[in-house]
Amino acid sequence: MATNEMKFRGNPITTEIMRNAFISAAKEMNECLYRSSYSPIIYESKDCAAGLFDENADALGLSVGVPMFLGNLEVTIKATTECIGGIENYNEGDVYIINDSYMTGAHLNDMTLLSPIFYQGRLCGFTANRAHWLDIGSKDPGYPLDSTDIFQEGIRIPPMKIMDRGVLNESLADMICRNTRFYRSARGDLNAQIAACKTGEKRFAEIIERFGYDTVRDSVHDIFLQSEIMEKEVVSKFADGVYHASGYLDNDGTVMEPILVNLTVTIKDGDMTIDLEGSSPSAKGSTNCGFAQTISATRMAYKMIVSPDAPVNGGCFKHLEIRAPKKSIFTAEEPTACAWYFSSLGLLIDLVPKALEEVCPERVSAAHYGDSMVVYLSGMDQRRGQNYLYVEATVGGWGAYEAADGADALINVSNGAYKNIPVEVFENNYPVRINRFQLRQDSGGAGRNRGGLGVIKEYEALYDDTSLYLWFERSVTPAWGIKGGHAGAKPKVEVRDSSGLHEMLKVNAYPMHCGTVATAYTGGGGGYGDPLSREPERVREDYLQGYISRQHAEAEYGVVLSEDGAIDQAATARLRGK
Amino acid sequence: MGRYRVSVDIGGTFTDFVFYDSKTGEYREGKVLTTHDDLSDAIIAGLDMEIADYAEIDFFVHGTTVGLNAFLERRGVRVAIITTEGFRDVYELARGDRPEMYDRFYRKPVPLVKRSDIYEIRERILYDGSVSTALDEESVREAARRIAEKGYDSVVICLINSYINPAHENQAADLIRQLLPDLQITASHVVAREWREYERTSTATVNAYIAPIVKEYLTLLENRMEGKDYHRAIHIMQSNGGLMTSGVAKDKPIFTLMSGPVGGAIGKNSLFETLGYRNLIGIDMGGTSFDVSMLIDGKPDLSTETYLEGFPILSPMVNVYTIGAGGGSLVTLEGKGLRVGPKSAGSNPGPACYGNGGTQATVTDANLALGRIDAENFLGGRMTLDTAAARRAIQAVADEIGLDLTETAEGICQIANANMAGIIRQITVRKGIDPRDFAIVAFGGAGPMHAAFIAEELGIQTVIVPQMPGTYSAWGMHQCDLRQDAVRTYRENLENVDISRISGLFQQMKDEVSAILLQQGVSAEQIIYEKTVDMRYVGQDYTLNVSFRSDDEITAESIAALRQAYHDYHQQVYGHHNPTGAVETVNIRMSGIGRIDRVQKTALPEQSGLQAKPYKTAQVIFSGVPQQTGIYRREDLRPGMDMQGPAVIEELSSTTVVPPQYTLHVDGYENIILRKR
Repeated sequence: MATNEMKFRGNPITTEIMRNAFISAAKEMNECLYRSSYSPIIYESKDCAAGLFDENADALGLSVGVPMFLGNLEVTIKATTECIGGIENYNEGDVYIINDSYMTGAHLNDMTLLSPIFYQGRLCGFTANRAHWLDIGSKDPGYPLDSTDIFQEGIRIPPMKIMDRGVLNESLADMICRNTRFYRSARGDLNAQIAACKTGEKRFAEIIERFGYDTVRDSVHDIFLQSEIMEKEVVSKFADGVYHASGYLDNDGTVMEPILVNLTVTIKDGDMTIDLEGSSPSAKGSTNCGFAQTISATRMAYKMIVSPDAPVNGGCFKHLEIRAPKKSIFTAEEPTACAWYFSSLGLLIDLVPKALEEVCPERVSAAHYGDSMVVYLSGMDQRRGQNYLYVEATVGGWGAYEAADGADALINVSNGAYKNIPVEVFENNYPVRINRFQLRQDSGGAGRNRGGLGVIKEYEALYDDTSLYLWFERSVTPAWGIKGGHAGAKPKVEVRDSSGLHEMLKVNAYPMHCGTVATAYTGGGGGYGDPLSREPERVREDYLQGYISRQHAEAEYGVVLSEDGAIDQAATARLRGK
Repeated sequence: MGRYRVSVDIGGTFTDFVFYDSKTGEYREGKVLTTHDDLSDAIIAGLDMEIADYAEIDFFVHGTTVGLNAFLERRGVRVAIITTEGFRDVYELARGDRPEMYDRFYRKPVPLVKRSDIYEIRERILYDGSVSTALDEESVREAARRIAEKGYDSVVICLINSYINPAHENQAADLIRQLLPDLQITASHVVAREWREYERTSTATVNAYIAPIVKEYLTLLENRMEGKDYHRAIHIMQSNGGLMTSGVAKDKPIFTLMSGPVGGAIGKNSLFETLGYRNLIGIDMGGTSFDVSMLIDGKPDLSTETYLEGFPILSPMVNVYTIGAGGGSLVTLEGKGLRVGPKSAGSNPGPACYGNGGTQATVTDANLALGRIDAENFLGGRMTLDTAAARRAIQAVADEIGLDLTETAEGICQIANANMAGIIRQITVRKGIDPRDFAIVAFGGAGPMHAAFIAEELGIQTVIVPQMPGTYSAWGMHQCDLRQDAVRTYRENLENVDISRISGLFQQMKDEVSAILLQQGVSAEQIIYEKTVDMRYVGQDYTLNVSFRSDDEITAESIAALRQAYHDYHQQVYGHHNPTGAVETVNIRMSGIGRIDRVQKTALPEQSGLQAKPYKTAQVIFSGVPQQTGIYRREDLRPGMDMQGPAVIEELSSTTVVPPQYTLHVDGYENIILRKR
């Protein structure tokens, strides 16, 4: 739906000053969250987002720690307003808490705090933030890998006032935190999220104070219009047409059948529609998400192609329509399980550029390794006499593109600024040793530009009674190449213990004993273009750096190398059919 | 006693000097063009202009950018890395994050060392320092053979868990030194004895990459100064705000990385000492950069870890936040909306008014169009600006957005000022401090031009433009002491801290620090020690650095006080604390400050009733209205003078703009103090 009036209303100088002020305020709110939360998953993985919104819940400024949180906050504010019976029921000083998956779109661990902002007695906007809590009282610590309904996934909270007119509802806070396995961490994160709301409120009030409410309204209109124009300029250049792509998740963690993500992208006169019709119905396992999160992920896929650098506000995505079939993996309803809601979304984000590979080749890339490749370790640290739970997402290879090889060993698309834990910190914190952490040779999909490499990481339990949980994905549809490039290597995990060598990708509480070794291999990215057209010099350099083996150079690239890296020109020409 | 004390700061365009002449008791500044082929040429040329006999120089301090530039321009030497088997890729894997999260083409910074230049050796130390696999010397010899074959200038040794037990790093370093005596060796625990293998490798690698280059430069400079009959120490400014002698700097050039920029940050110390300002925000704006630094509660704002071009560096550094592009910030349109920066015109072609072929408007062009810069007198007349070109560039923007030229020019400055203020606010909020408790110190060529406007945005009442704002970094170097830092990772719940162990570690660091300081010519009595601890609540990752109250022995009481100090600090920074929460130590740090005798500035008497006379008047635009504005020469301003804005003060290397609603006062130290009326 386009803005009706395509005309600027405010002073361009004031508008620009205000635009920056909103972005700055959102950053301050998120900064506040990072720095004061108790869960590493927030302050390290930055699994959180914060934003300022106008009275219609349209974003003024948004700061996201994980990229997929683009738009689910506004949907959550709207759902909350509806739930409490309208905007007139907000009071100054109220702060709401909510995690209901079907309203927020995400899993129950993602806790949203929001508060209305009043200026001179008038509701003029909202501040909201979302952060991933370490534990929310699900049947297993963290979140379960094999849940089949929402009730196994933890405490579910409808919009509730955690603060009523400035007064903390202590018993509610206590009740929520008592329903998690880590009370102190939950309490700390709750405090941090309330503080972030307050920061947003204060900054918004300052902006209105300075410019006046009417000027703010005019400038907000103009800020939105600028974003709309920018996106329209890009998409208008894309050829009209209907484009398809599809791919499979391995399974939902409970039923061992692939799950289909099917999408159709329609472009017409600068408008884009992404329709998920044909995707799998709701899964028995937890690879389902509420529509709010589907909107977020689809927006993200669009943004990564259309406007990767621009800040997000209420003017963005005006020319993007998103559709999903009812009762599907993308439109979860009670009591569907939602814990692993993001695997299908990561695939969706990869598939949009695949659909558009001919439409805007300079803006897309081959697929990346695809999912968070999660390793959980839990047990008793006998060195300190404490229980522990360790959660890690593992890096892998990214897709090659027109201009360059794919990047090696980066975190997946849904995790953004997540940093891996240093080996030295890990070994100090947990009773497990890392034996090696290295690039996985030959894992990048071959192509004129090579896909990025995955990694190999090896964990050795130093004590008995360690439990291993795994969620490795995308072995059925590993990172595909585009424009003739080959697919990257699939993921695999090997566990070696007294009973032998076992391969597994998803597992729940596999017992590790002292000396059990789990070796995770993450996938590589897809290649771009015909591998036989890659310059032999570049193939040779990859061999010299150990990114590929001689066998791989020969089999995939048709380049014959001696052990010290000399190119056998004649043999290479023969292999390449020249 | 010699007659002169001298500081030299080498910048991209100019090499700045500040001389103190004990005969007259005055400070003087000097500027010569930087000589890029041999930086010491400019140093000698500048010194020769002021000083006939180098034996008369009592104290010489130097901020060098040799190491930083070699790093930024990727002109470092060939480096090999030796690491633990299984961890060859630590350096290339980095931390795997994608800070540009919507950019599908995001890439990590290109490593300074290729994968094929990284060698694994067999050894393994565990998290607690125990040896799991003894060092296999044969594997070290094998690595040495390959290193000799391929020919490197410098080698890094960074082994897993060496921060807790450096025995294997030392053993490997000794062996390599025997086998390859000419190789520069950087053992990671020597430059950064902290956990986190990637960050430590990165720090050691930058050190190894620039070490031979810095060494060569410092040796050359020593020889030239020696040849001119200067036989005292050459002091080098460190990133941590202290000094070290050139002899020490040669081995640990990583500590001199930010040598140049920190001078200005440290200069604020003396404003604290002379005028009592405990909280200062320094803004240093040049043609192509805008740097912010802070003095908080009388102490320079330091970080124990920074990122440079995406590479982490573990070493205490005075924070100098480079934000935006200063006067060179480009004005562009996006979605028909006006944007100022972050893109920069750079120094070439630079702003339209430079006349080097730039046509896009910049902040400098806007200032010129408003009459806030004198076209004839830019950089003390060293450069003439093309006002017509600036106006053409601004007019083009004005036509697009439907405002007139003046509104557009002033708007560009307002947006730039608001952006700069916004980022300053983010930095202060992150630290839990309120900018309104601060005064601004403005320096650099354009800092004093924007300072009052930025202060206004932040609700700051006072702006100080020190004497010689254009050479303020060099001036700051006169105010420094020797400094040496040490660190150990010691992770322990505060309840369980072993007092004899922590005391032992502090003693170890104190010995290490004092040995290096004593070797630089200070006496034991001149050294002050400070013990600090990086602490956090159990479960948190980020730490806060908290000081022990004194250098006394560590006792149960001092640990209790430390815990309380941590709670208080947490409350200040984050707005909440957890009085019953378990607190743990992560790193413990020791700083040794070797006091150097300095010449304190003395205040001149302030005379009342003196009136400054403008040397001319001009039309300058404020709030859309051209106003008759006095243009003054800085040298005509005497202590005690007062005036009302609007006014423009020009001097050799800087321009101060006093907006209409501000008053100006010249104090006894010849600082200009601007205050909101």
